[in-house]
Amino acid sequence: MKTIAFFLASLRWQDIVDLLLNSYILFRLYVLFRGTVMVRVLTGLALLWIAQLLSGRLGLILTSWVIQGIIAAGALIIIIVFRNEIRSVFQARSLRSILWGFPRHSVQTPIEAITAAVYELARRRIGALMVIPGEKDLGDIFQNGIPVDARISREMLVSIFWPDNPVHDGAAVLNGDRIAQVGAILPLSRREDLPSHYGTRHRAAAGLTEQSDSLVIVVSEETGRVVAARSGRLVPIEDNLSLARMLAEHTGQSAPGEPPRDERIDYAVAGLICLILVVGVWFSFSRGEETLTSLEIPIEYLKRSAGMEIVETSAGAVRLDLSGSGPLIRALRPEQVKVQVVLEKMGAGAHSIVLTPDMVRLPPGIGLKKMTPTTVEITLDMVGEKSLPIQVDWVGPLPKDLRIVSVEVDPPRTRVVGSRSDLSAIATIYTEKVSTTGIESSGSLAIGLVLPEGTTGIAPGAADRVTVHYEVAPPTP
Amino acid sequence: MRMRIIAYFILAVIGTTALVASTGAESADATVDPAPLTLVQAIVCEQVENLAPKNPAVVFPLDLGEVACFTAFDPVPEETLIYHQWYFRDEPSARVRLRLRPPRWSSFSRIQLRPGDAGPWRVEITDADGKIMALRRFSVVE
Repeated sequence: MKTIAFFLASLRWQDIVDLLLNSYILFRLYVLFRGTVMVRVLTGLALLWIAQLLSGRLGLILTSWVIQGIIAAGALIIIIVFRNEIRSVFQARSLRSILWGFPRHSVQTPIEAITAAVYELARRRIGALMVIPGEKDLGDIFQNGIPVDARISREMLVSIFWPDNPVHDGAAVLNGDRIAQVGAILPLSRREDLPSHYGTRHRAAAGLTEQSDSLVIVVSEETGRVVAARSGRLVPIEDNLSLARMLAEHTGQSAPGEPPRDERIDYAVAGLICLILVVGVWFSFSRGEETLTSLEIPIEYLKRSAGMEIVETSAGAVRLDLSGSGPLIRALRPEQVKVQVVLEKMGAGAHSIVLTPDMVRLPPGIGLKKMTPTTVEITLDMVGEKSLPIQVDWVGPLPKDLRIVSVEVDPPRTRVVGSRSDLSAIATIYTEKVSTTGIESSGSLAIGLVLPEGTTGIAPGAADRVTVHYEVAPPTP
Repeated sequence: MRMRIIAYFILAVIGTTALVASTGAESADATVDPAPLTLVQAIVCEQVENLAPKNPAVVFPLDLGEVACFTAFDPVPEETLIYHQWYFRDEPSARVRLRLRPPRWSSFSRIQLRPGDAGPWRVEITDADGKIMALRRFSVVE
């Protein structure tokens, strides 16, 4: 109880939003793909993922890797295999229905009308073939039907199979409460073990159900007997009640006379399961076994006043001791962590800034345990420009019989940029080292300049190289 | 008679004006400043011999042991002080006070070179008020 209370107290509002948002996303996916085989496949993948986590925890490295590979391949296969289902879900719906709406009560297949039609056809000994599709798309199995899109009724079904009707020989495909196609030619079964009294209609029914999860109802023209085909098996139907039960079972709805299922309860249970799942996943990620790590993060100074330069800081980076669940800490990268100090309205001079946790930006689920140092000393100064005389920095042994008697630098001065306090202490800018070795007579040379410490660069347009003209003479004895 | 009075008056005015003018000239002569202290020579050299710089240069070997700065002033209107301020890489190294006496005066200072003194140097010659009269740059090499 105490643990639960502590857990609830430690929840941030972001965590609650996080949980609710992800639960809702999962729930919406369920609503969108409800009734399709996708839900079952995704459930299988989720179970695999849990198995992978468990095997990882138990140290079953190979098993964990294999399951990980299966999940990765499975995700790809799902997208390829179920592309039609995914497309139909997103194409057929508006944005509002994807994000918010619930599908209207699922279309009820009029079982009574079908049953009545089947038995009327049977009584009249009129042959009939009716396909009630399952989850699998039949588009790949046959495509030669005539689209009708008519509402199912006893009269309509009887008239389709009436002997003089041009389409009475093919199958009628019943989808929900509509007659989707008529005159469809189904693939024939090649089985040898079918009873000899079964004709082409029975063979077609067996052939389609061998390749799909459809239910096919056959009315024999010769005997008037009704047979249902499912999963390649042909089952004689004795009466209309048996047929109604079979249709109800196949379409997932209540048989006539039974109380209808309440979809709201289904959705509520699904929503609860989504919430529990997300909380479980979130808990395993963010509140699992606590792990500690330390990172050295550079301090970012923000919103300096215009022209203000940081001259000196006591610390360029801080050491952060962080805690979080193992997966989060392992996934943590230094660039995800920031330490930002706002220098707004700070004038030139020395400042002492206390580093507080609100200056540290951390990814969700990561906590700050300790920060070192807790104070940083910073000196700010305005940026300025200064003209400096240039002096040649001679090095190297001077030949005994030689004196350098005069030097002229062209240009004699240049301008540098830096903080004003630093610039005030600088009186000269020196050239790079110029060796006296090898100098035998007067001459010239070109040489670069060395930036004095505290300057940030040569001013725009100012010389960064000079020409040195030197004159030599022998020493006076 | 009137003409004579006018002539006397004109003469008196001219005379007074001339007198005033000559008095003003005398007073102007009395406040003329003497020629200011003028630096005529500032040389960095190896040594000073007989009050003359020897081997002036801008690069000196460290093993020379010392470097001198010779300065000559003409005129020196009154006894005063000047300073030779030596800097090594922009850092003050030595400050030598020198006394000048009228009417002209030469003086010099020198620094001893030690290991670690190789590098760029400058010497500033300043008057008693600290105003820089001349600046000479040189280098000491190993």
